Amino acid sequence: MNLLSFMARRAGLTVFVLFGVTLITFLLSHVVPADPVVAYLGEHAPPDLVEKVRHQIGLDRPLPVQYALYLRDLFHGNLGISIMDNRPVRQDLAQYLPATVELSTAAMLVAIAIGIPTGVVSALYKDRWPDQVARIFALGGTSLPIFYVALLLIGLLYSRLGILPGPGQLSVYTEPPPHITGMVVPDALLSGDWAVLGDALRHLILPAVVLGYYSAALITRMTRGSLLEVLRQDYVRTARAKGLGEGRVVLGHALRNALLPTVTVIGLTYGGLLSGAVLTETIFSWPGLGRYATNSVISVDIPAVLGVTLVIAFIYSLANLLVDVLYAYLDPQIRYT
Amino acid sequence: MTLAGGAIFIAFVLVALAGPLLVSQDPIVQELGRRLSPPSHDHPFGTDSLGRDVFSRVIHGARISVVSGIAVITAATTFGIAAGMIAGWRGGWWDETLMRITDMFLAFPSLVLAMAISAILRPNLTNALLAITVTAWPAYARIARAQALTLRARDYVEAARAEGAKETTIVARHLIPNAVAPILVQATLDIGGIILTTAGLSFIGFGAQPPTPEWGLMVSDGRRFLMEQWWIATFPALAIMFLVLGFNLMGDGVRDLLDPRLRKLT
Repeated sequence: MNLLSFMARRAGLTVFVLFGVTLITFLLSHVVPADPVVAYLGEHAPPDLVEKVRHQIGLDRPLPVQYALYLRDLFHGNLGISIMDNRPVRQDLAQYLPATVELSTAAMLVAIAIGIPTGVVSALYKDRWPDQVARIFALGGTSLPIFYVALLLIGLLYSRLGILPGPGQLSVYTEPPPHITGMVVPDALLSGDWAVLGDALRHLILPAVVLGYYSAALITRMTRGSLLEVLRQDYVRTARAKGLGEGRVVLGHALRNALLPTVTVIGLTYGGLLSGAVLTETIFSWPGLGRYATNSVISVDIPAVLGVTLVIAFIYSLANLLVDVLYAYLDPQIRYT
Repeated sequence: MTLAGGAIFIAFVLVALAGPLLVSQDPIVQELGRRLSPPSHDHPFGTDSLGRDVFSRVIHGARISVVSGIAVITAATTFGIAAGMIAGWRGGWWDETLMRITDMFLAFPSLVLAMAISAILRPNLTNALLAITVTAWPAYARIARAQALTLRARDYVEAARAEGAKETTIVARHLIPNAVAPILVQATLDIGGIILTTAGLSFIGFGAQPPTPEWGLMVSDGRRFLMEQWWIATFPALAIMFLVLGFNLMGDGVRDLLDPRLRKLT
């Protein structure tokens, strides 16, 4: 089948999964042990008032009806009111989404920039010291607890040594740039505000590196493995026999094919990025969805928790869709599975 | 590498099982006069902000982490195998439904879903483990289902059916044992991540509660003191790292061991 019909099929599946995600969040909201109406009105509210409010909100309707109403609300962008700050959850999410996108993208770039070269070096110098060093680096990425690494680095580089600025996206006294995309670095870039751009970048480095480290470790392992696999292939031997320099062989032939599985891993690590962003943002006070998720969980702000979970699942699903389509574009054989 | 991983793993299991018996200091007793003291002869890992001995807390925490990881994996694989086998064996509507359900669960990054579930239930370690199990089972269900689909066409299954064996017998005696290998591989690779997620949930306060000596919780306790009294948060973090490392190395080894065998089976 051609790429378009593959895309259509995958997109259809994603839409279905998104509905499933809403179903799960809806069910979660109804598993809350505490009676939400009682929690809202207070424990001493008279029973007939409780019943009246329950009828008003619609909590006495049968479950499928409530789900339909929930979906209708979702389509209108109504995700409920956050208990923490008394604002519509939608507004909170819109405010915090750009920061997470900014951090995740930066982390992904860091991960690719570190991961792929390290993987290549590791494969080319297999079992010699560069490989060992790279493998230790990769191992750390799968076993070090991210919250500790973040705490340690911010403690050393900010508190002790003062090299890097403290938590947050910008320094306290810095005026944020005009709101174009909502993301600080692009906005500063687009409005030519170099001082703010510098400040923003300095704040972005550490969280991006911490978050990216974990994906980098995965990408390194994947690149190393698939490059080793590819280098054993016959066409590589042919290229060498033809007299091509090692550089041409590796970069021109081997790497291109080795990168295919890496693309999938990049997509897969996106989910890990979103999870890791939760803890990273919390520790670096980065004003994104991750920190919002942590705060709403700590405050037991159910509408906010479910809203942010929903949005993160949506983003993750869309990212997976993109990766699948990209992979199918790069490797036509996939389209037939 | 596997040997190193295996050695670490066994060391940790031993510590988890026997440690609390050997360590003399009580992990919960507070000695406020000795709070925040650095590593010394009496307290090899120092004391924390309430004067508790960090070393014995780390040792007790080993039991918690190892048991938690194993509990989650066992529950997730059991449930996953059951669901996956039914789906793969029966096929048709069962299969489609299971695939859609696992797709839905797999659309959530695990920590995020675990956090949402933890927020809804009361914050304690058991609920956290429950939440993580809910995020973990779909992957095993899919593996089990794939194995069931592959294996049900095998000759020995045909033969068993011709002999008149009951459905459940066939599944239990023929399908499941042969499906165990890839699930085992995946489980050993996942258990490290599960331990990290448990620690992460405890770190933000939605897992183990004080005064439980859970490692993630201990790192959170030691957070304020990281620069001056580094031992409070660092030793638990190192413990987490080594345990996860041990499991990961062992998982790699298990996979290397079973992979060529996997290819021979299929």
